[in-house]
Amino acid sequence: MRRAAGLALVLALAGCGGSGTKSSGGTILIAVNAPFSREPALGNTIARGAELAVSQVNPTGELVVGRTRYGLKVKRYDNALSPQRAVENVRRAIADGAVAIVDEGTGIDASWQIARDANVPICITYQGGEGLVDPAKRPNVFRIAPTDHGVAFRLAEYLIPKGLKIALLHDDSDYGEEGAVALTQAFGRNPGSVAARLTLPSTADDLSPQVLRARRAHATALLVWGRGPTIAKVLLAARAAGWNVPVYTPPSGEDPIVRQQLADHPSWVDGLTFASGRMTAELGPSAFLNFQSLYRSVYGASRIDVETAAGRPVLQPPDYAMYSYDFVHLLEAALRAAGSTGRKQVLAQLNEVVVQGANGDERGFNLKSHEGVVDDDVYFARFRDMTFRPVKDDPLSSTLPVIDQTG
Amino acid sequence: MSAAPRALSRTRAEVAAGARELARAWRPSATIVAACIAAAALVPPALGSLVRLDALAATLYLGVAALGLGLTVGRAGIPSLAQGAFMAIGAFVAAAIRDGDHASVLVAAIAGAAAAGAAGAVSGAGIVRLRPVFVAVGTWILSWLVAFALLSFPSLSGGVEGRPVPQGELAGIALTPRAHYELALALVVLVAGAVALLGRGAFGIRLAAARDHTGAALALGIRVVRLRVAAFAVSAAVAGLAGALAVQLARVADPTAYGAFLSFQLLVAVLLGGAAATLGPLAGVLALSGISLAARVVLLGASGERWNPMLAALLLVVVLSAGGAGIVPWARALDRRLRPGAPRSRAPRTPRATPRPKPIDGVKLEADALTKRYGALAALDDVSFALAAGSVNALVGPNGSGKTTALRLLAGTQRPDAGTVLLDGRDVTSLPTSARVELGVVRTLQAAGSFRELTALEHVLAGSALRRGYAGPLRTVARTPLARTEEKEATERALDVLAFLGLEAAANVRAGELSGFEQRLLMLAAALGTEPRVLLLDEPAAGAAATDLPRLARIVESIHERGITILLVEHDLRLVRSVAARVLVLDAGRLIADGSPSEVSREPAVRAAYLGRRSLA
Amino acid sequence: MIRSGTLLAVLVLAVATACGDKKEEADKEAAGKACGPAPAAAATKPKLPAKFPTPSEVTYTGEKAAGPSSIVSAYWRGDVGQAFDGYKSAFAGAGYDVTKDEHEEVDAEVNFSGGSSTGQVKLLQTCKDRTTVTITIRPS
Repeated sequence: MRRAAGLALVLALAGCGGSGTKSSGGTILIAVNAPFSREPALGNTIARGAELAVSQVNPTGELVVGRTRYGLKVKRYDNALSPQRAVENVRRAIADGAVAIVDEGTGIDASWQIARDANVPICITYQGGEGLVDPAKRPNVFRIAPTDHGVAFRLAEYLIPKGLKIALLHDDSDYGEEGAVALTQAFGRNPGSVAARLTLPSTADDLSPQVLRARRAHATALLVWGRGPTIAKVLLAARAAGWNVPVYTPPSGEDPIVRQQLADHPSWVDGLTFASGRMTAELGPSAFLNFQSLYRSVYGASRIDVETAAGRPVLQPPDYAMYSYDFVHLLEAALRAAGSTGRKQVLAQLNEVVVQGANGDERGFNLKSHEGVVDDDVYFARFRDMTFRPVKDDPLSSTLPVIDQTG
Repeated sequence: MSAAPRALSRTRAEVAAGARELARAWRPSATIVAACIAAAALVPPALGSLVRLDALAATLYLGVAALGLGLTVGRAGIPSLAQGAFMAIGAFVAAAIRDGDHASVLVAAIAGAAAAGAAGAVSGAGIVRLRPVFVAVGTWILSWLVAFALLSFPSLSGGVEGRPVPQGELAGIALTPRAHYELALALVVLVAGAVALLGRGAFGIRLAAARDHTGAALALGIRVVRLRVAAFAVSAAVAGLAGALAVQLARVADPTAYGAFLSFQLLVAVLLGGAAATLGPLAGVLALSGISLAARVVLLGASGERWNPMLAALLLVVVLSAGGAGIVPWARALDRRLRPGAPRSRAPRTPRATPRPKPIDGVKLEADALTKRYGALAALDDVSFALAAGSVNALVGPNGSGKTTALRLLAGTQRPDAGTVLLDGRDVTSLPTSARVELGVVRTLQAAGSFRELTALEHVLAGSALRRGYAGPLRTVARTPLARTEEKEATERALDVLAFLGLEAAANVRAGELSGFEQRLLMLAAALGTEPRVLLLDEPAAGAAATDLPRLARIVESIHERGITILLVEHDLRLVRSVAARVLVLDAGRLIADGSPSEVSREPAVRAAYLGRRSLA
Repeated sequence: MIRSGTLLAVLVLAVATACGDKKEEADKEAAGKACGPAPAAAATKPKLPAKFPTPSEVTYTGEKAAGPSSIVSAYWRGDVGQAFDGYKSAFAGAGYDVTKDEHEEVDAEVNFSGGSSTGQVKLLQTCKDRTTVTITIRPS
């Protein structure tokens, strides 16, 4: 009897020890450095992706790393599109104890070193410029977003075989200037395909002179690398002049502002084609649709204040939110693999772990590549009736399903 | 004794002299300031991780730029809205030089300061000649031009992404945020000290004189434009230095951080803290930073930053509505009110025994066929006369007869349309006022007015500055032995002048606190400070009470006794009779009489000119 | 009462999911079947970057330009797993970096960098012992 009681006691004690007496380690902070004041839509998209992932990681309010429980928290830092502010934010985030920074990309050339000195990884989830990411020289900088190089080359691969004479237009914003560099690389070997190269002043109200110059150069297609408002102005100028030239753009063509500014002429948006990172995986759309459903359950559907011809409101899919969402999951995997919140260990593990991304694709980095979206994952979509769908004349795009964008 | 020990011995003696001088000049407020500096220096070890040292360092660099601006706004009276632009120039020049870590932080900082100083000198040459409101407009436009240039030339500025700046080191110490904080604090102390020394030295006194009364300053031979350009350039160089170091801290030269608003913010800080006080600009920057921080906290974090421009504008309105003095002067006024019996730095001095003035070689001043026309009106028409060396002469005539015009032509304030001015036989007609003052011809102005913010002593020092050889800005800041010795001698001489005029007790009193007659005497004191050989006095008795006239007459007599040639323009004929040996009478621009007072009074033309209402007899 | 818009969205969602899933099912089914005749080999060797690996199991069938890039088609005699492992070790041996790789049931991708180019080897098992190889080569 006594022996049985003693055995029971030992078992009970073993059970207590074995089922994880975990200590509380405080809060793990993830910083989001984005232009919340200057581009609130973009900033909020990035932050919401991260916050959504955090809410999934710790629905019970904790993440267990090693034998310690942590809370996971996202904190927003506004860079106001200023590199100096972005650098200050990185300093502040590090001082606040951030283990990682999700960054829109402004000021990375200056801020990465400060983060590196503190062994803090930075993941860029918007800007695609070349030189920002280099695993050898900038071991703590990662990116999950389509690169300018990838977008430019995919556009060249898609457009040049069509035999088009393409006018390459870029605006004088930082985004446009960097895109112009990428386009020069991509189209540099096929000069015969380029009808003209023009710079568009981003502050100009009317781009008719530049569009007219492209027309006079006998362009049969326009490739406009600029922010959303620039693209809208080019479309307005071309269509108002009765020129039905096909227009191609980088991911900024998807910016709702293009459709908003052309809401009075919805047919002028028809045929606008943009390149972007694909929203769905080869496995099918279910992963992305689940993600979208989760996003909308928390934040509601993102109406962009335009309607289809049938009067249905158009909703913006949360594609860019996927990137910050995926990075947080990668971070979570790295924390678990490291078994500690030590910055150096977590940074090392980011080169090892792989997770399934929001769209079902595998997402991960390694010592040779810190790009989470490869060039070959860039697809093309075309607008019709204020919504877009993958094109049929590109091998990758033709395999992708249509995602409903109406309410 | 060999050279090295001799040099060491001299250095020790100078250091001891400097320490004694510092001890003499030490005030209770200096103790407070020293305590604040010591406390600030202890912030990193004491508070370390509790505070953001990078933000504090950035604020201190801004304070350095504001201190430099205080020299321009406070001392020179130039309302510059370009200080942010000069910070930008310093920052981007430093960033370009540091590119690729090929040059040291020190070289970059010096280059940034030099570039900004050069830009200040070039732009200042045009801007400082404008009226204050146009100075503000012109400098504001300059700020915008620099901001636009940065955005329009991305190859220079790095475009919207800016130019990254590698981490550097100074004297072998890595420039971490903590190192920047200590460096910025040291710079604040050095720049504040330099600005204080400059302000109290001949450079600052003359600048302030030009600010308070430009015409009177010009009449004393002060090269107003040159001084203002120098002040503008020094202020710009300080801003460039601050910008060059701040960009090293920020690690990126961001064009968007140097918009025109930065210049506005700095000007607001200077006015908020008190442009007239050396540490006022620094106090203003700290106050603005504190208010901005509070706004961020109250207005929900990041979005609070958008309120900064509005807050700065509101604060400016508040400061200007409350009289425009600023935090530091208000604090001093409050201190005076709370401690009325406390000793003040500007207490009246105890008069000494009046020393015997040194005789001067007066010179002969001649006017030969001087003519000045304003359109069809001949203000002066073919006027010739000669003033004997050491003589006292009066120039009289009805209103509008050309007396002041004659003085202006003799002093070089205006050029004649015909005729010449000869000084001891030398033709000085083409020489400007400043050159004639150096030769010993000085004029006091007709209009009432003094350098209101300067003390009586500083009035004389403003005049005597041109006779000094070691009063330049660099020597003043460096406190070289020659500069200190000369300053002491100049002060003694200035006190002698004040004693000569019976104003020694008011040596440390601001001119604005003296009576109108005493203020006129101060302008005479300033003229005497230039060690003139010819004095042109324009209505010294204007506005004087009858009881002041005998005193004025005695003063003129005393000046005459020293050997100075005097030409006195006066309406008060009693004064003229009592001091002048010779009287020249002008009427409608022509010389109608020349002789002793009694001779001239009997001239029918003179009686006719005065319409028989007055008589010199 | 379900609104027609919501019903339509649910239907589209179902169809999209089904379509995607259907394609995956079709691919898996094809991968298990016996192979037919192999495609004809290309007459000339395609233009490849310096030291680009050509494992012995690979037969090139064609090449076409796509703007600045070239797309080389080939097939691997074996299943997708063998092709995947084969290319990874071949790249390592040739001094190329594998920047990303992904291996699913019947398809895989190996992204590479080297020889002044970047690109992707896309593998799709089309029948039991044959995997189509599509190599996209982009100049750096």
